Amino acid sequence: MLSGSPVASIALSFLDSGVIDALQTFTMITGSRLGASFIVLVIGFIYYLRGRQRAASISIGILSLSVTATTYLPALAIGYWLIQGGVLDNVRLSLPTAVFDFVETFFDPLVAWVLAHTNNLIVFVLGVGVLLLAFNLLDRALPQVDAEHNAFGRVGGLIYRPMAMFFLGAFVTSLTLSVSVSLSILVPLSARGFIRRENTLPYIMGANITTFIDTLIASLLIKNSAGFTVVLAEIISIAIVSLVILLFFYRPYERLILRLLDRVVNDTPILITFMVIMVVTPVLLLLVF
Amino acid sequence: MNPLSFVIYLDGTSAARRAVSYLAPLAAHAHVQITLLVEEANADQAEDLFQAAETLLNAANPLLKTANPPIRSVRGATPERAIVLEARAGQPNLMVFGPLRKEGWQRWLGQSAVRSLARRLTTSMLLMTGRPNELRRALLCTAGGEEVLGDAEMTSALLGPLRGQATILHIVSQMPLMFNQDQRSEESLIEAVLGDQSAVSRNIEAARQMLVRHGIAAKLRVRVGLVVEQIQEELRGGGYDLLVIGAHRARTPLDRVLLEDISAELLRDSPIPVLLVQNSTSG
Repeated sequence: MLSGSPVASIALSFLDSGVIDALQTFTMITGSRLGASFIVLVIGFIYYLRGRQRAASISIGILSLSVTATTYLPALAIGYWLIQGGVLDNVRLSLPTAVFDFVETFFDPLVAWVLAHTNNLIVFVLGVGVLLLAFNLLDRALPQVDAEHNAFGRVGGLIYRPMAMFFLGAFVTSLTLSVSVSLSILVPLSARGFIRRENTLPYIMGANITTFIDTLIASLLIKNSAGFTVVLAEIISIAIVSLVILLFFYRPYERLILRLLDRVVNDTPILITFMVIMVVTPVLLLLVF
Repeated sequence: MNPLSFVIYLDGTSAARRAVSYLAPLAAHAHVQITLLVEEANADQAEDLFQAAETLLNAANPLLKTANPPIRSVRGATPERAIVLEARAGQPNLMVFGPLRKEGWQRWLGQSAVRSLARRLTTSMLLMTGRPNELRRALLCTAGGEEVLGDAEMTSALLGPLRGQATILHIVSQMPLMFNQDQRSEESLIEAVLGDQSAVSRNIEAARQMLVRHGIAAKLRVRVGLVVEQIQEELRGGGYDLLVIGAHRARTPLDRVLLEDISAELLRDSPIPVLLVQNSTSG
């Protein structure tokens, strides 16, 4: 699907339908984020196969996936505790009833008609298609950022404080709602040497938090409080892990990720091994569990 | 040569004595004026401190007593205050002092007097750390901005009379499009940095030529990676006597919040003396 948001939305639908429980929804959403980061890498790899320079094409993808994996996976433990412990059960947010009235008035008859004339599988496929279309339209509707010729251009020659880049990544992604779109702003700058690698790690960490805004809204639309709790747990757990890293372990973390990037980008066998691990691991998890 | 004035703060520590010995070879030059500074709290020891410093200077330059004797100055209730007041009064080119500590409760907060001075002083400063042999080889670190010319000018003022050597170090991030395994040799990197006719390459080349004009053997080094890490690696292996860096470029309060202060980290961790150059564009 090339994006984590539709998968996250589908996970919430499954939760609402009772197909999966809250914890499974939480891990599915986590997996969707890892998958979305992996897609950034795959696209970069394709560019490389088409003759683009490897470092620029693949670096952002590996950075994104590495940062996502090293924050989301530890966050699973915190999220597990938040959900299983019912810590957030009393935290509630709701949309105005007019929103639900609009949805029920406009969409419910449509869905009922499709259900009456087809089967559940087709309804599912159509639903996924509508989701993808909606996110595609949203992406097109967002203003295109000419990163080289506005304030972003100033970022390149300077080293920003990690927290500043963290909040910048969070802010930009709160507008774009997509980590890959937020990162795409950095790609032309980074490829031309205008942005230093050091600035991208905390940017990705911030982006990985506010990318859940659209999923949070989706959780409110399904009117299932468990969905809201799951997404909130996701946001809080990732924010905690990210802030702990930024405040206490950032320098060693930065060196670790950048050295990993260096090894992977500059060594073809390691790059292939890295890609294989990223593909095989989730497949194995599906087969084993 | 342009007149060069610097102030050496004396507090009786070995760092202060090393600062005097370190800069003594410059004192022999007629265009150099040295001021020895003691804080008022040490006024009763001032005479001893001045005489000890002048003895070191005279040992290196027997003609100093008659040619260009150092000026004595006592002011300021604390080391930091003394340095700031002297900088304002005398407007020297350079303030020289060793590691200073905050006194009283501020010490327990881990606040650094050196870092505070780096922010407050509008004149360049030389922090005397480590045990340098003599002032001969400088490492000038630059991001490639226009301030490298100011850095080169100050480096020339110190090393020119001594016919020293300078290495201009530029650190590249790993992200550029041109960057591949087979382009990581230093020759390729230097060619990439200097060959693209960008503002960075022009500034670095201009700085190199300025150093050469002042009789300093100057060369360029390019490294790839994290800035502070690469500078520290270069210092470990390069046999340098002086690290030259520009002051933190925070022009506005927002810059202070957003921008990483690399100079503070280097001032804290450098194994050799650090020359922090205040350029007109520095914050």
